[in-house]
Amino acid sequence: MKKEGFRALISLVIFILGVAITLPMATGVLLDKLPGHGEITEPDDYPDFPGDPTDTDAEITSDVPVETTDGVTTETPDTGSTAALPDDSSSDPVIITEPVTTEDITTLPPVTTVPEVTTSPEELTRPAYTGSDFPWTKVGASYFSDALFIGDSRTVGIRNASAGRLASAVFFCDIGVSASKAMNNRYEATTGADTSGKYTKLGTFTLTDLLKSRTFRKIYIMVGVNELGGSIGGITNNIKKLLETVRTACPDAIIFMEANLHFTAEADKRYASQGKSYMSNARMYQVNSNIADMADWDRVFYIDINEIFDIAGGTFNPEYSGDGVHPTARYYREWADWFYTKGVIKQG
Amino acid sequence: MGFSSIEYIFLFMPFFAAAYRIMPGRFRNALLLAGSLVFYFAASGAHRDPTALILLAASAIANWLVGLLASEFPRSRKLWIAVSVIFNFGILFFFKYAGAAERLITGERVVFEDLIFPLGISFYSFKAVGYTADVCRGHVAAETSPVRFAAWFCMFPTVTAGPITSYGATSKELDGPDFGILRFNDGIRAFVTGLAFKVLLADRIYPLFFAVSTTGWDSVSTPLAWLSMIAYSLYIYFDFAGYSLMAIGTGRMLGFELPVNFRTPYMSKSMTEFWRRWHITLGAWFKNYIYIPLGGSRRGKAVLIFSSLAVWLFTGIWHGSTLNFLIWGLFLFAVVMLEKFFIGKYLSRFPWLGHIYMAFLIPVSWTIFAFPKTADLAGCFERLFPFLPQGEIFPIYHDWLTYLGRYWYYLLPGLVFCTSLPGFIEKKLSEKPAGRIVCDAVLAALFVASVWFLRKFDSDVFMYGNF
Repeated sequence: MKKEGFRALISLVIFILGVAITLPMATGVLLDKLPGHGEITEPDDYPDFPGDPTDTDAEITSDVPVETTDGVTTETPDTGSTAALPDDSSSDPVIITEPVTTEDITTLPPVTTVPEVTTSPEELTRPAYTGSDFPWTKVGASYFSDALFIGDSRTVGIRNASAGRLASAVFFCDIGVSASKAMNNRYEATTGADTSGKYTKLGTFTLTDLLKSRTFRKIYIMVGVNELGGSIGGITNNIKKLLETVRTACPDAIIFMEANLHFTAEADKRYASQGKSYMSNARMYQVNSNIADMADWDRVFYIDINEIFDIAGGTFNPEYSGDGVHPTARYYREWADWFYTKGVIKQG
Repeated sequence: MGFSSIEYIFLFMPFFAAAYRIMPGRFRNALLLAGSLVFYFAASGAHRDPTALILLAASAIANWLVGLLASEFPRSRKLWIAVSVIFNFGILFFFKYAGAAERLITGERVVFEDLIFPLGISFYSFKAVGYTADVCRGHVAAETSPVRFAAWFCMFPTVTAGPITSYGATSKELDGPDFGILRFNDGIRAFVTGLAFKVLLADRIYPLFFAVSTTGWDSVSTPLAWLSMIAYSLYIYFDFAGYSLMAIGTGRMLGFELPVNFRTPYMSKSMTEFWRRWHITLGAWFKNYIYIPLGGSRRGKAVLIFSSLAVWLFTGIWHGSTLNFLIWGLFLFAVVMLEKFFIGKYLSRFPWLGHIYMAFLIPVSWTIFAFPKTADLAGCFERLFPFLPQGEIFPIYHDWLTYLGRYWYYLLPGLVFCTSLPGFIEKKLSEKPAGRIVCDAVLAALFVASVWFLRKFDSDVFMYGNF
């Protein structure tokens, strides 16, 4: 009996010890203390954007190699390009107001937005465009022959599925790209896909090398979603640094800061239930709002795809997406078409 | 916390196994119950929402009581079976279908929007009804000890997603565990094999299907559509078979034997044979508690057809509440009846024919299973069968080659491990001591690789944990 009692006691001690060690880790209670979760300022530890396809280089080089000379190759997409251009009737973007202001968010960690209280002379003379009321120019395919798209998996999707609409542009993108990664890592630069889905690889570059290798007159930047685990201020600063890098290298270029695509309401909930509440539309709105503030509407502009992809309530239209986070290929094509409606022509 | 998690493999299991083996026999069931509740707490996220845990506990108590009542008042056994069915399946039906029913009636899901789906309910509700039926039929004596009953009802190796065990067989095992080294070793082998199935195959193959299915079917070529559905077939097999092996391995490490759930089902030569080799405990449950009680094959053709229809309809809706699952169940019924009355004899006479037949039917059947949204289902079928009327298509050039290039080193081993070849090799090698060392070395390598992948990527939740 005593031996049994002793064994029972030992067993209980081991069991309770096991539970005490396992439960916190299993329930994620201590997870906030681990790197990559919660409020941290180091952007480089973030996991790749969940749900991404793991592919980057789709493929096949074309028969005609594209030279990476300093001059710009002005190749327009193949035959059928007139069919590829959006027609006028479908182009007017739906104007929606920003769904949430920072004051409405009561459940989020403290917002550290970029302070904009100081009214510098620049601020006073800046026209009060929010983007949807700026007088955009509708452009043609040749507009993109000296364009560069920098971004993450959504830009990869645009690259792969634009079916010839952006075939002459250069893409510098990959799954998981954040502002810091875009500034520091090497990625394969490519053209956009042609109508059959083929694109051409142009070599591996760092961003600064790529910006030196040819003249880009339009640069599109869409990053932010892959660093949502960090503080809003941290993300904003990283994107600002990326913008400055690009401006310094290409002082004459027009830069389009793109809003990050929203999530569907379902994806928003799904992330929250997985303990990834930092992946939320609420935080995305803040990041996008800060990106919008970076526009000076002279050289740096702000465009927001959500104006055509959102449903009421400010979430991504679930009809357009399979995973709640990326559009399907058909809507990547529409995205490419939408760029044609957001042109800026500068004299000089 | 699932089986394929660091905390389960390196923390929970070692501590629990040690405690369980040291514990004197008469307290072991209590310990198993306690451990199972802790496991379920972690696995169901009870710290966020304890509904599932409370439901499990309540269900255990209620079913124990019904079992006692059924044995106290054996004359009213039809009543007790009805009570058990209404209670257990009522809860299951509610959680599974309330949201879908609401959407059907009002067009959207508002009241039941946030209804959680209690982990394992599809499995433990079946266990419960099986137990009541066994007590009423006199196959097993009602359990008087609530602890002993609850230990079986909630036992953590099977609570998430089966195998669906019968009370009689399992309680015998629990009473007389074999703590010998051979069984423990077999347990480790089963567990590591299951872990490798899940982490090295299922988790690695799934992104192919996911990426293709979220591209938009109008941009997927026909070869890629087939590739993605073959990938899905491999994924669902290795995910669920992997889980079952881990459950069996855990049981063996704790000294008891759990029933096998999969027997290389993709080697079947007919759909009838397939469902005797896939999710075996579910098929056995349907046979014992629906098919045979309804008459089965012993009362003529009409009864057979009716009993089969009932089984396949229930199979379909057990798996899911959307329309495609019902269609899937009916599809399986049609195929099984076709085999029974017409083509079955040819399939068994010419095995190669059977294999080709199943190589085609398996991905097609999983296609119906895989897409709750009708638009996706239709889209995928259009791409699989290009002779069907098509909408506009914009496939990416050689898209299937790209995916094949990226996934062949998971797909190829996947195909190999669907066959009996690896099992055969292992058996042959294990006959000699040197061969056993080779097997153990391979398993050790698989274990290390699995843990590496677990650290690098989160292991996705068991798919069948959603049922």
